[in-house]
Amino acid sequence: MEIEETRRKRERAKSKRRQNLLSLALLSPYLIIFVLFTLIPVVMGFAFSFMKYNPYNGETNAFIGLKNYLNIFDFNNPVTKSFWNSFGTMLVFDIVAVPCLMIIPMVLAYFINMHPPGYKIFRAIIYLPSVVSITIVGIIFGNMFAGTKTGLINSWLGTEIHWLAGQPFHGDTLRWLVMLIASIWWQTGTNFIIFSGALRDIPKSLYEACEMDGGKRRHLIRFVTLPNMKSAISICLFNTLIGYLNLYGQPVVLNELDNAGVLVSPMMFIQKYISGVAYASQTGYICACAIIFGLFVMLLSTIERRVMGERRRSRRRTVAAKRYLADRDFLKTGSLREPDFEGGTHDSD
Amino acid sequence: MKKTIFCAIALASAMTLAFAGCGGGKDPGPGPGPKPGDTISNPWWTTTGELDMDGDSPVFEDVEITLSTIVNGEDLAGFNQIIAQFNNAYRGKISIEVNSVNQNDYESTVMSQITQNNNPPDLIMTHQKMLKSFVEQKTIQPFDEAMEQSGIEISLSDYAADLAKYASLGYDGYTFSVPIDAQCQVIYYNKQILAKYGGELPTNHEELVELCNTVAAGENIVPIAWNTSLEFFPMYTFLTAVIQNGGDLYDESDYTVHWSEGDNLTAFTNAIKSIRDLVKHTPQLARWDAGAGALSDFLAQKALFFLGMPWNFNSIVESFGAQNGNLSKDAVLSGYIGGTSISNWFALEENENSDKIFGDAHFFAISKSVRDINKKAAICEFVKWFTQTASVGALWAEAGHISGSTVVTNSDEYIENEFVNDYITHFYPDINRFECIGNTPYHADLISSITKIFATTKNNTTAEQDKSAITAAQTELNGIITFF
Repeated sequence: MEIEETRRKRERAKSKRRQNLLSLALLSPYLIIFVLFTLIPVVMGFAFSFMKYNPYNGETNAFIGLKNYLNIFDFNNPVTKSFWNSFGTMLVFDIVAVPCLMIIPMVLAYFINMHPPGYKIFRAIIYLPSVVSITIVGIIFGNMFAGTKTGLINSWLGTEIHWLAGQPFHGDTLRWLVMLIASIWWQTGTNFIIFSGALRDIPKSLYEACEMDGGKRRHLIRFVTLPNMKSAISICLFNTLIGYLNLYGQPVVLNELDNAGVLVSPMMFIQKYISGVAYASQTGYICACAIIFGLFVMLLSTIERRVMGERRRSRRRTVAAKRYLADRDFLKTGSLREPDFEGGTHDSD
Repeated sequence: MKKTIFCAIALASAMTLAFAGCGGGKDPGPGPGPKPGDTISNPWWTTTGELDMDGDSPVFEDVEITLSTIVNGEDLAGFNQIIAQFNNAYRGKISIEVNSVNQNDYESTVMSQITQNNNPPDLIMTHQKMLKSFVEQKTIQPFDEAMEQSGIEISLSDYAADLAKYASLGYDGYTFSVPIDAQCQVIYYNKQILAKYGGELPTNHEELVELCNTVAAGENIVPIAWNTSLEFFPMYTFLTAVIQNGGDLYDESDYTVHWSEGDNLTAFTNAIKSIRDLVKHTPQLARWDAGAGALSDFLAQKALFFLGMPWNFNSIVESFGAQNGNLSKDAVLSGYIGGTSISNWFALEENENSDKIFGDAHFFAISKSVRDINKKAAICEFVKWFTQTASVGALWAEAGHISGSTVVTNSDEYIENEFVNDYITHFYPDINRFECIGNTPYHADLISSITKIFATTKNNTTAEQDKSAITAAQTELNGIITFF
């Protein structure tokens, strides 16, 4: 009996080892890329942020403690000023763009889910722009909103408006507007697909029950649709927020020579100074800026997760899982008691 | 808990390794590298091997040189043709392999290749303005030792003085770079329209305004077609206007700029005014934002002058012929398109710089990764051949670049070349009156600030607004320079 038990244990251990090896093998392509291109650069960037570091000339490299971080809060420094200004650009754009990129796809998904005539074509049309790169978006919108009379919009309107040449923080919002339109056109499709999936998954019985209780359309949306889409909304909000905190492509591709340096996001700031040879002696400072920016993104993402209640839900799941395990163990010992899930019962086999 | 301890140890180890691998020492403090007149006490380059000599001349056998060039426009075909000629002429002795790198990434890409010893090029061919960064980061070496040992002399007195002055990159007595050519925005003009209005090209700003005024009134066109949205306009033409009005770009001792002070402020405001004179004139003589439409206007014979790039010559001529009844290239050249320069176009008052033109110049430099003296000597041989052979100079001129070597520009073969004679000498009337940004590592920020001034002031109406824009750009740029 004991031998049999030992053999079984050994087999279980062997099978577990094999399973671990297999999962590691399946994970390894991602792990290698993650370690090489994310983990190592992050750790090195963190280390460099405490140094006066020059990637091209090691002779001058030295540990300088927190000096780079203190410089980031020296607001008399014009480079520091432009770093914090870049946060302003990003936040202004995010405050407008993120809600638009949540509401518009949701409304579109809601209507497409009613299956109007030709809805499959509309679905494809809405999703199609998501597959193009930001460079293509720049070419399309750059030509549409070209400031000359030959630009598509100008030729339709018979005007010569300089859509992309304005100074957005100096009374001109046209470039903001074009960037916003381009972003909505480009990225609505991604969230639209997720919302469509979530809408399809809502059981019809819930709508019927609500209607039987005298619910009108607005009640259906408020008490059935939105609560059942909460996970999808949370995922979309998280992805969109992270994406727009890393704002880069739109201001880079949608500008004119006049204002290429006017709308600078933190990513553009970091990219400019990290790749410019003239700034090589302050690479440590730029790394510190990148770390601060990274922390800011993490902070906002955490707030978003908290607000959307992911943490509470996951805690609930943990409680449910613990109960399930306890009940499973209880069942193993021969009891016929059914597992007690939070919020419902479980049909035993 | 174990996992947390493991992660902490891994992070600490990685950081220790990162710190250890990045040198050490005291905080070296801010500030740029060498200043004009600096000497080199610890050379960062080395020389190995012995040179095979046959009498006074070195003997080369299968020396392979990799060349990283910034040339990648319409002129790349001409450049490759020249390299093919060299490889044929030096078969079995020296061969050149060319790699073209995009202008925007050139500095960081090539410098990383050299510092990380990751396929570094042996020879670099880039704009003069970038070389200061290369020498500050100790990634290039001087030609002097190789010239001395091989007996291949590349004398800077054989090059245009206004280009040769940049060759030392601030280290007096060293030849860190060798000038190749010069480039700027040039003027294409419509011979037919000009002939109708006297056939004389303007020789100063006043004559320019007068001629354009007459043409605009007579033809009902905007006579000057230029694309101010093209980066070359503020970078070359607006800076030409500043220089022609007596402007000084930066203080060579610390690279800071003083644009809002004294004569410099006058030069900047006059430069703005000289362009505004043409745009705000009634009738309008030039447009602010013609964009790509500028070329269309010129090709449709709706403009007298077109401000363009010299290396686009062939495509402009071909398009003009195609758009005007399929004219042959010869017909276009003889009857329709002439070439001239922006020399004297923007100086409001005549001064010693009125005829100067601002632009870029290509220079050769040797990577510090080259150690073998045979390779260094072979590089000298190639550089001398490229920059001082008349036929090569003529071929390179046909690609849009005037030779920077007086040996070439004084040679009969170059002078008698039809294209050089009809266009290049008109595009660049005097190579000794040519100005580059010079030896500042902050060239990109300087150009960006100049562009900002140009963009901000073009819609201004008062001198006070101009001054305020110039001062703001100056303060921001000086802040960046002081910090970095």
